[in-house]
Amino acid sequence: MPGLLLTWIRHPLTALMIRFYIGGLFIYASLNKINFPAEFSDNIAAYILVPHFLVNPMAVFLPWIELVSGVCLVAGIRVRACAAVICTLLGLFTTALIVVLLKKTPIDCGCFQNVGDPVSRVTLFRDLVWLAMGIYVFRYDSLIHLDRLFMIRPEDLDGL
Amino acid sequence: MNGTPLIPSDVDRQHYHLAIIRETAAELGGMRHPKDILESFLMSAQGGIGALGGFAVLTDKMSELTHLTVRGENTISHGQIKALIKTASDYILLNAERFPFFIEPDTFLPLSYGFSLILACPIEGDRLAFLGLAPAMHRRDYDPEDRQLLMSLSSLFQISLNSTLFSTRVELLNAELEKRNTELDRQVFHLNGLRELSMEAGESVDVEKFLSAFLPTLLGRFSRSQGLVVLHDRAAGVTWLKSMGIEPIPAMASLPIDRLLFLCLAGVQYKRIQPLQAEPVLQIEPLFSLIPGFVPESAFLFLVKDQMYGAVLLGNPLEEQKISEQEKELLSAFVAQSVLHLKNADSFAAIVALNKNLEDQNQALRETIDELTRAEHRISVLELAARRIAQMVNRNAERIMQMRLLDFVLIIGISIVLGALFNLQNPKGISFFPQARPDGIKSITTSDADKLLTEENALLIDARPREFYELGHVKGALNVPLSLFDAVYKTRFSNEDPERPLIIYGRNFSRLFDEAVARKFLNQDHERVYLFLGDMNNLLVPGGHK
Repeated sequence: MPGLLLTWIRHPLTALMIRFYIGGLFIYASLNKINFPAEFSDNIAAYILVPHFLVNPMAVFLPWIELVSGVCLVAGIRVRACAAVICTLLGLFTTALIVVLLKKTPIDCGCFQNVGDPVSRVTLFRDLVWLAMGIYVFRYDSLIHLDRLFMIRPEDLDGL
Repeated sequence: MNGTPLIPSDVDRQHYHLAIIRETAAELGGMRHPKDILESFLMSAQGGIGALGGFAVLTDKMSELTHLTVRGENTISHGQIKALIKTASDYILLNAERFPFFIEPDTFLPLSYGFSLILACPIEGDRLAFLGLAPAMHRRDYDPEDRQLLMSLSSLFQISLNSTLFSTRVELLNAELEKRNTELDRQVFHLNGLRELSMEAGESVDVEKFLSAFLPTLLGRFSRSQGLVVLHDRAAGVTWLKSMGIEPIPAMASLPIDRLLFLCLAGVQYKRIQPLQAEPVLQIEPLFSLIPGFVPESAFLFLVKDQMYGAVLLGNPLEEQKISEQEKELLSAFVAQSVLHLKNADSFAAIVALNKNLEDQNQALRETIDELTRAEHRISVLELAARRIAQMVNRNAERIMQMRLLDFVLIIGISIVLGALFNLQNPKGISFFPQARPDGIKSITTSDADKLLTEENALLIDARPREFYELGHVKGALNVPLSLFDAVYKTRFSNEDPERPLIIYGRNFSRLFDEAVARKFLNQDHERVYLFLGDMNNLLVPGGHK
């Protein structure tokens, strides 16, 4: 049983599905924030972790980083780098959530919508799960990489 | 010496005998013929002792008379002499006498036929000479002096005859030797011809050239004026024809070569000719009319190898003489040797062809080797290229699986570019840079704020979001969040005196709420808008703080 579980854990298809999920998640999460940068900047400011002169740049660029990373992750372009970016973002988000929870600041998460998603332990757990997924994709993903689509693979050169 | 003088005394007689011996010796010294010697001996003996007649004979080994001389008055016949000699010969040979001796007629020869003295003289080679003397003149008896003379004369006679016979034998031997030398010279001549032919053939390894040299040599050595040689290689379909002295010159096209060879085969004794063998054509008559202008005297059929055979036809000798068996054998040996050389020439031609074939194959092999070498080089280059490609592919595969700084730069760079572009055209875009504080907005200290609050009834405004306001605010402060400014202003400040001082607080690390709200108030034509940047807990407000 543990062997079968381990096999499924290490299976490239499992990593592929998780990769698609995380990539799609970030694409979805970025769309609202790209359209409403002012509201997202308020969400960022609510955390009181980012200096005021960086709030607006972050509100503009952070969603795009999420979008580009998510698209590249889904497409299989520079997967490990995108997975690292996403894991970094998730790490930052998780750290911010921990600080907010410790401060007991009643703010919205701002992950998918500007309002109606208050920060809680569930939010923290959710982010940790996503972070684990991101790390998993970074470690085990190997299938359907667009940047290797037209590349000659080493296994094609058996015998050389 | 023909007269018989009376001898007066013994001394004179001895002198006379000596003179006879001397003269006889001188005379015999110049004689070479046995008959002459016999005659001289008989005359000397007869004259020396005064015999009325006599005979002298010479026999051969078989005691047969070879020479006979008779002189004087006697009536003995040849038959009687033969009988007499035969009887004496048996005695002499039986006793193996070597020196002359008298045969006593009464004792040994009952039939003396009236001869008083019979002298036997053994000659070299088991031959015998006899001297028979009739009684002396005047019926004188022969005395020991006479016998002594005869013995001396017979010794001379023996020596002379032996010498003559020896000389004759030597001459015969010389003649025989000369004859044999002549024969030997001829054989040497032919053998030299064979040797020269071999030497010439050794220089020529071409069948055509060999036949061209062979025929003249053959005709010259064996003194023939006409000759023809034909060689047919059935396997290769090639025929060679050489002729000399034949008019008109036989042409290959007109000569029935197959018939010629067939007739030769029909004329040989042994039909199964072995390779390198030459057989003489014994029945040569069918060939007489085959070649115009040529009547062969002798012919040979030979086989060089399987499917390669030929014939040699020779005309009559230049000298009209019968050819000896030895010459025939030499001729046969000559032809056989030539066949050997033909075989060598044919083998050489085959070797040359093989060498040519080998050379061609070697050339093809060299070209193949060169091609293979080039191909190997190309393969090496391709293998090297393949290895490099594989290394590149592996490196690329590893690189793709690796993160690079460039990846992050690209992701963030693209995101920044896209974000900036989108924000510029987005109606809801926001400014990247914080706005500068307007000049109409001043910051005040705690004491000034207290003074304004107490003396001028300044309005304290909390610009923070509602949530932060609920957590704690200055008592009496009015919450005007930036997000709800318009709604709150409409409901609360629509009738407010624009001259009334407004003290706004509520900034934090991430947001300058107070400045934003102050800017809004300023835009609403409030003239006295102040920012309180100190600790709001220090403000003295009626009712304290909440």
